[in-house]
Amino acid sequence: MSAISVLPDLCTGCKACEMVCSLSHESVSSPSLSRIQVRTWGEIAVYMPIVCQHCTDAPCIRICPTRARKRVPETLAVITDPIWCVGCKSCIYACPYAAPVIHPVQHKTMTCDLCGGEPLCVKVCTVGALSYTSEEKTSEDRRKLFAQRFVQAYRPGG
Amino acid sequence: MPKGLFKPIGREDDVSGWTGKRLIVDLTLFRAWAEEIPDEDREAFWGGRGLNGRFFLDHLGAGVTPDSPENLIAFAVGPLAGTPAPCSGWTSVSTLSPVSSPPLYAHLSLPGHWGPQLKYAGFDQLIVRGKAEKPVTLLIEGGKVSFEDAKHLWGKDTVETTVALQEEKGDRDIEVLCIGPAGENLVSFANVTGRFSWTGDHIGLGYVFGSKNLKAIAIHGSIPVSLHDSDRFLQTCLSLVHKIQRDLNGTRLKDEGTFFALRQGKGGFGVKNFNASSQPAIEEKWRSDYFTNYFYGREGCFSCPIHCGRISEVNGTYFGGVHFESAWSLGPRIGLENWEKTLRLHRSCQLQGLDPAAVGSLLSWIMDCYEKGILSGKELGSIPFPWGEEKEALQLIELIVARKEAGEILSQGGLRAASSLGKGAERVSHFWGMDLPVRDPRSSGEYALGRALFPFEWDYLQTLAHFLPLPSEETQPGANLRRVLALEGQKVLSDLNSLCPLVVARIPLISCSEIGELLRLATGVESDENTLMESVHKTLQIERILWQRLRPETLEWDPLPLRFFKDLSEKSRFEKEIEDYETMPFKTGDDVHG
Repeated sequence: MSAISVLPDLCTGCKACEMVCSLSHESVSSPSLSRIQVRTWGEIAVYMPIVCQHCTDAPCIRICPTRARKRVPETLAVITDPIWCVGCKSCIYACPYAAPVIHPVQHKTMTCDLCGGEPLCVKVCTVGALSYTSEEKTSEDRRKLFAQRFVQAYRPGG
Repeated sequence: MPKGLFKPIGREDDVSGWTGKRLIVDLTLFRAWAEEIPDEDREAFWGGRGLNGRFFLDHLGAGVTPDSPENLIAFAVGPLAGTPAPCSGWTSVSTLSPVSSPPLYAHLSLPGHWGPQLKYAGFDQLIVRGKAEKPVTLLIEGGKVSFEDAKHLWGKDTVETTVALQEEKGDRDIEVLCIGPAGENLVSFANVTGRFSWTGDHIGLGYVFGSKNLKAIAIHGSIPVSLHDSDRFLQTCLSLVHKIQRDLNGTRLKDEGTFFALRQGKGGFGVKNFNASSQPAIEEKWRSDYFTNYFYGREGCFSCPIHCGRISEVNGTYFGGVHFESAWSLGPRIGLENWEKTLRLHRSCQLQGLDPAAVGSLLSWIMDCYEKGILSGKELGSIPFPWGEEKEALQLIELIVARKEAGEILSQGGLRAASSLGKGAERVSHFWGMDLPVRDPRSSGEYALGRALFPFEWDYLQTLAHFLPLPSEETQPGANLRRVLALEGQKVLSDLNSLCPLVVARIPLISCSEIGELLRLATGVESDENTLMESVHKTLQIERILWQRLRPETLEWDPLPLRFFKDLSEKSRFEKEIEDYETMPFKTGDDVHG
C-alpha cells in the first residue's frame, strides 16, 4: 500500500503542507487544524513532518474502543469516523508517531485521509521532503539516501 | 462555508482574509488593548507597510527620537499572511531608525514565520509604545497578552533566548522575535532575530527594542484565518506554486539561494570598502567554495515554495540565515576570502544580535582608514586592523557589543563614529547614514538613485532587481526616476500583502494581477491592478510626508559621499533627480493629509 513518505533532511519547515491540509479539509487556514504536523528544532536546523503512515497492522484500529478508527477501502487510508469518535485519545497513545491530531473545537481525533489518493501536501512540498509512494519505493528511497551519504563520508567529494 | 467538522472560532463578523483588529501595547503602563482597524484603512492600504504608515501619520508626535518612549514600533501583516498563498510569510515593521542620519521613519520587511503567528493570534497589526521600567518579554498566546519578567534572559544571546522561552512555555511552535546583548546595550545597528536566523533588520530595530527594555515578543496563535472563497483560493495557490516551480529563475533561486545574484555575471560588488569592484571570476570562485564546503541544506519562510535560506555548517555547528549580502559584507568587502572565517564572524553577529551587513560595512571602513593612516591604533584601542583579519574583527565585535573602549564610539555606526572622531567621514559608504549594500553604486545610476530615495530597502536581493531587464529601456530624461519608482512600486505591493519582495519585485514570479486575484478570493473585496497601484502610491506618499516631517529644514544634503561620483557636476545631477522625487505628485485619487 502507499503512504506519505517523509524525508526530514529535506524539510525546511515552511509549513505549506499544514496550510493546504487545513484549508482543504476545514476551509480555513491554521496549522492547528492540519492533519500533518511539522515539529521544529530551529537551533539545530531540524524539521520533522509527522503524518499518519496508515500502518499495515494499525494499533489505532485495534485499540479504538468505539471502532471509529477504520480503513477506507479505496485508498487503504486509516481515518477517524467523527460520528463514532469520543475523543478518548487511545489512538494517540497507541500510535508510534503520535500522529492523530485533536480537533481544537470538536475534540475528536483526525488523521491524514490521503486526500482521496492525491495528497495536496505532497503537491506543495517543492523540496521533496514529502512524497506519496508505495512501501517498496519508500524503502528504496531510504536506501539510496543512506548509500549516497555513506559514499560521501567514505570518499569525500564522491 | 466550512465543509468539515469545524466552525470558525471567534468570528462573528464577516471579515475574511483580515482579522480586522490591531493590538496596542503600552510598555510604560503595562497595558494592552485591541481596537478595530477602520474598514476604509484596510481597503485603502490592504495591510502591512501601508497600515503602518497610516498609523504613524496619525500618531507620531513632534520631537520623538528613536530612543524616546514615544517612539512607536508597528508590525503589520496583510490579508494573505497565514494562508497557503506562496511566499506569504513576511511582516512589515516600521519605526524611527537610529541608524539613519538624521533619524527617519524607516520600514523593514521581516521574513520568516513571525507574521503569520500574529495573524493566528487574531491581529493584523501590533503597535508597541512606551518603555518598560525593567526588562520584559511580551507574550501573546491563547488570546491573552502578558508582560513577563525578562531579567533571567537579559544578557543571553539570540539562540539562548529563543530556546529558553520555547522551553519555559513547553511549546516549540512559539515564534520568538528577540534581541541579543547588542540591542540591550543600545548598539545603534543591533537587530532583531526571529526563529534563530530570520532577520531583515538593517534599520536598528534591536536598538529600539533595547531602548524600551523589550527583550522579546513571543507569539503563538491558534485562531484560523477564514477566506472568502476558500476552494478557489486553494486552487489558485496550487497553480501559483506549480508556476513558480516551473520558472527558470525560480528554480535557480531555489538552487542558489540569494547567491543567485552572483550568477548574473556582471560583477560590480564592492571589495575592500568599495576601493575596488569584484570581477565575475572572483565571484564564482567565492560562491563555489561555499557550496562545495559549507552549504548543508535549505530553510524556508512560511508557505514558501522556493526556500532561499541556506543552512551552513562550520566545525560541526549548523545554522541558517547566511545570505549573499551579509556574507559578502563579512567576506570580500573586508578583504576576507576565507569562508570559514566569514561564517564565524557571521555567527558571532547573529548570536549577539548585530546586523552582519552593518558590521561588515563598519569593519571595512575601519580597515580602509587604518590602511590609509586616517585611523591609528590610538583610536582603535591599540588593535591593528589590516584587511581581512578575523581575530581582530571578533575582538572588536566584543568591544562594540559591550560598548567598551573603542567599542563605545564605534557602536554608533560608521558615520556617527567618524563625526565623533572628527576624521574618516569621507571614507564611510552610506546613503543618509544607512550603510551601503554590497553593490557598487557606480555600477548603475538607476541603482544609486534607488538607494538614495529608498535607503531602508534592503531585502536580500535588492541589488538584483537593477540587473534584470525592464520592459522599456528608456533613455529619456527622468527615465532613471521612472524605473526606480516602478521597481519600488512592486516592492511596496509585496509589503502591503505580506508577500516576499524577491518573488514580487526582484525576480517577478507573481504578477500584480495574480496578487489582485488572490486578494479578491481571500477578502471578497474587488481589486485590480489600478486599485492596487493606488494603494502603493498612497503608501509612498505617506512615507514621503513622514520623511519630510522628520528631516530638519536646515539639513545639509549629502545623500552619497563624493568619492562615488566622477566629479561635482555628476553629484549635482544626482541630487537634482532626488529633488524631482521630493516634489513629484502621486496618482492616488485623493490626497493623503499629514
